[in-house]
Amino acid sequence: MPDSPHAETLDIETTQPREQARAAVVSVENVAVSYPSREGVFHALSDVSLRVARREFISLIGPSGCGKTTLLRLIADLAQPSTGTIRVNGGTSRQARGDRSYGYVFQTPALQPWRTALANVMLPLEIIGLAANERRARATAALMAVGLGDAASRYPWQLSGGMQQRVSIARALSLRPELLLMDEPFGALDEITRDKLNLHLTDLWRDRDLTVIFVTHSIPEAVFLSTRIVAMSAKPGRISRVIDCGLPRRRTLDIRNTPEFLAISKQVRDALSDAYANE
Amino acid sequence: MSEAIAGIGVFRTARAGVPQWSRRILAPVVILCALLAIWSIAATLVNPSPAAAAAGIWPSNWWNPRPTLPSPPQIAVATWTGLFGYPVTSPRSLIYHAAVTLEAALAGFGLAAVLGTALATAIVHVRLLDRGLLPWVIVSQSIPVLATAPMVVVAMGYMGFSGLLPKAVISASLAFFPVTIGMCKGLRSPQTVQLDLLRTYNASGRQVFWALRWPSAIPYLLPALKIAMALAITGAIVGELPTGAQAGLGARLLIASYNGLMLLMWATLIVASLTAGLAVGALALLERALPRFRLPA
Ligand SMILES: Nc1ncnc2c1ncn2[C@@H]1O[C@H](COP(=O)(O)OP(=O)(O)OP(=O)(O)O)[C@@H](O)[C@H]1O
Ligand SMILES: [Mg+2]
Repeated sequence: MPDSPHAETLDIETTQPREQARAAVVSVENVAVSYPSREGVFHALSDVSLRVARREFISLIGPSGCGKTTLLRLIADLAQPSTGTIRVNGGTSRQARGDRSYGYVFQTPALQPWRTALANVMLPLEIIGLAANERRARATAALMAVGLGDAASRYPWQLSGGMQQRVSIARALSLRPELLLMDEPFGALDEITRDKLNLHLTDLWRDRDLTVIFVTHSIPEAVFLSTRIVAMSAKPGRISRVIDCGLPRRRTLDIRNTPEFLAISKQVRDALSDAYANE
Repeated sequence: MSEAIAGIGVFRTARAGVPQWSRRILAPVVILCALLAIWSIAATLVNPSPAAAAAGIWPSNWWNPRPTLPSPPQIAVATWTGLFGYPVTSPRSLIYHAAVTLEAALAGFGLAAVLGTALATAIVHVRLLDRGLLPWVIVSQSIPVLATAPMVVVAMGYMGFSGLLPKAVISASLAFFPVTIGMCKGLRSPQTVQLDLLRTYNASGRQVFWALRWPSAIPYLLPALKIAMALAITGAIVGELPTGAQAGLGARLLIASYNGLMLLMWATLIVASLTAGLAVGALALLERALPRFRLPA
């Protein structure tokens, strides 16, 4: 039955087609990161394994210092593991960075103050050597996608924190990556703005078939956005529990009042309490 | 109602403006007046007063034709005459000499800007140069120009260069320093996250330089250029001292000191600082035109 094309189309909305499930977008195997410290060796990450399939939305959640940023940086080839292997799109993380196959959103917007919002979004397109008119068109589209079409000519200091963070998301989207790595992108925002951006993000993820790895400290945010939640604990940094999140792909904010949502939230909360108890 | 509010707004900004204005203008003016007063008293006490006293001019020693310490009005008159009393092509015109010096200073400034930037770029990109070159750049500034200037002039004279070029080189040897130091700091100013961002785009070293390091360094470059401009003019003047040059503010100073012409010396000094002030002011205007590149306050 899975061989019939009809069944395959139906499959997409619910689970992964088989072939894509086998070829993980990101696979992290027995990875450890350690730094020399005064008391010997500090284990930022220890024996971490994680496979992320296409169109998944993974949230990393856990106490401060448990290695969430470190893990994201390993996948992005901004840091190297002490042991273990990391594969992205079937190749090494170095190759993936070389192919510009991911977009990275940092904890701070990291906009260039001498560039307008539009020019900031065009930065990666300049680096890859796109023609000027194509650059402008793509950057404008990316700004529209985050709802900032009318702020294109403003400088970063003329934008609110939430708008700046949206520009940085547009910048990551402008390269049209299939994989998005996001490090607490909404950490510094108020609840309402955060809700709005969460909705934006979940729409983008669904409409563009993105694969997202997302770091957050907020349980409702993680449950609302994710297909899977990875709870981590510190000292040494490791994965303590992985919680599946069977909510439908199309989500609106009222989903947060459903019993399913609350049940998953409780699971995550319990996992985190255990992680904090270890401190 | 709305008019009343608007009125209050005007009133308040006006009131807020006065102390601001007075602090910026009044304080320097008061200091200047005090200095001039002390100077005038000193000029009265120090200068001999032969002929003028007999003629009944008061205060007699303010107008001594060969003063030890010229009085402020006497310097003002001499400066004015030096600037506007002769056609600008005349060797007695201070404008003529200022132009000769400024030409060399601008050439030296240009040289220094290019050399300083190139050095800083090399130092920032090659770790070995950071250890190997930067200490020498700093040591170079502890050698007095007065000692090196004649050597440069003589050496370049052997190679067949004279006139503008040796002066520009001496001028640049002073002016490149603030540019190098400022650019080193500026090129290193981008935050780690900014560098990481470009790394995620797999940007080359050259791309990182033009897209991030260079624009980040502009706010450091502009103040460095202002200091460099002032030093370039000093350097050009010093460069004119050993050449036996006929033209330039330095040559004028040398003639004045050989002949004990204190008045000419003071007038030349004032023209030198006016020239430096104008050149630095022009750069400040340029800085204003690039507000986006100013350092965050
Ligand atoms: N270059 C480094 N040298 C030494 N220790 C490091 C280095 N980078 C990270 N660490 C340590 O590794 C641990 C994990 O850091 P990481 O930034 O990944 O934490 P995190 O989970 O992102 O925390 P937060 O939620 O506060 O952002 C921290 O204890 C940190 O001090
Ligand atoms: Mg972090």
